[in-house]
Amino acid sequence: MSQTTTLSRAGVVSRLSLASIALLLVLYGTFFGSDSDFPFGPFRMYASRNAPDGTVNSLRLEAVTTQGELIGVSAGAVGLRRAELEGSLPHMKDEPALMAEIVERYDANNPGKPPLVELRVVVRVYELAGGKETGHWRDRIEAVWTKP
Amino acid sequence: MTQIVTTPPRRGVARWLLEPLPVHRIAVMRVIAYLFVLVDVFLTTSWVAQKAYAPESLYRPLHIAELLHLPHPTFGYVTTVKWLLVALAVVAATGWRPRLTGSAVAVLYLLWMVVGMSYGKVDHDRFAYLVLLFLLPTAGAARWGERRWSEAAGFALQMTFVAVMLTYFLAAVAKVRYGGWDWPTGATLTRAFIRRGTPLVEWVLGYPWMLVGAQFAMIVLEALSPLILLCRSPRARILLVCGLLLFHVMVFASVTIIFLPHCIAILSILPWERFSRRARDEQPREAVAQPA
Repeated sequence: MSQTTTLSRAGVVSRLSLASIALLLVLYGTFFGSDSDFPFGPFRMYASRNAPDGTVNSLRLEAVTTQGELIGVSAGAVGLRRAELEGSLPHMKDEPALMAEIVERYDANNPGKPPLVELRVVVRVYELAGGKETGHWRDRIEAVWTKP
Repeated sequence: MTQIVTTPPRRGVARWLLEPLPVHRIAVMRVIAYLFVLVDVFLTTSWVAQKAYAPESLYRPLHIAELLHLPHPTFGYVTTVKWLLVALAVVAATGWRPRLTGSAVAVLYLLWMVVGMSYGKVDHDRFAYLVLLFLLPTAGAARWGERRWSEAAGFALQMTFVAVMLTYFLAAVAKVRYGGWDWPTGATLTRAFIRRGTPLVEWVLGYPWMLVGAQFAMIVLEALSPLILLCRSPRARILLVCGLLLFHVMVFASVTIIFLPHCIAILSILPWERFSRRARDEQPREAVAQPA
């Protein structure tokens, strides 16, 4: 036969009050907060809406090495995730110094590979019609950094 | 302080949240949750450790980082948090001093997450797992095969259950907030499949009505998610866990996104004592007297 352990009054009161505070914080975050309120921010993954006749963007990094070769640079190679690069795109456009820092990171993180002389942020824009891919896309170079 | 007496009468939400549950479940979840920290650090979120090598000017501190005056994630800070977290998770998985080691793991994992989420992208598969990590220590000592039931165990497990539910329910609220009421008729899944669809789902892009149907199903199911809290019997809980895990496996198969920490939190819903002969409670539990 098993036994049951119950909680003291203080144990119950402290648990229920902390749980209520946490619940209020996460409700506040959901309705009024932003990503910066993590872990109480809104649960925003895939919450934004793409228009069925609009476009879908996909960002990638391309680079030219000292050997003149055009290569793709994964976000992971500079210590980031693709979505983080997308979130930082406005900063990269405004501050070329940030692009230089990404190149420095790449060179430091990939010591065996030839260094970069040029880095491009390329956004591929796919066109949709009626929620369907039209097969048309264009590559837009959003930011370029070249070794001075 | 805890004492052994018959269950005191509790009413309403408190009665549901403090329903005594088998302590064995806590013992099992401690091993799973703390060993998962190693999987997370070395495999599924190894990109957090890369923040030691990320461009410093991309760092956008979260509010909690500013509030707590957390340091800029330098190489030294990230590496220290990582190895402290790993070491304490291993100790905590053994069940030694569960309140102390468990609390340390919870705080260190939160610090680890704050680093990971401070570069312009926040993931939402961490919430229920964080809640689980913060609640496991509150359940106190727990041995494998223990037949005792406790309100402390019940509270930790039921609150994690609520956190799992909220992750779905509040995701529906966020879709209405950011995508608008017409979110389901949009092309959000088209975006997801174009950007990261696997060969398994690429063909669906030719049939937008199917994606719209899937979006309606998603938001309706998320909005109805509070109903999962009605799963009380062991059988209902097992079916629910299988259903939820199946959903996440399907998401992984289509867009290679797996909510792994969230799946670990889902496992806490299972009646683990059912799978252990030693922990199974064959006799009626005399101690849980119905309140008069």
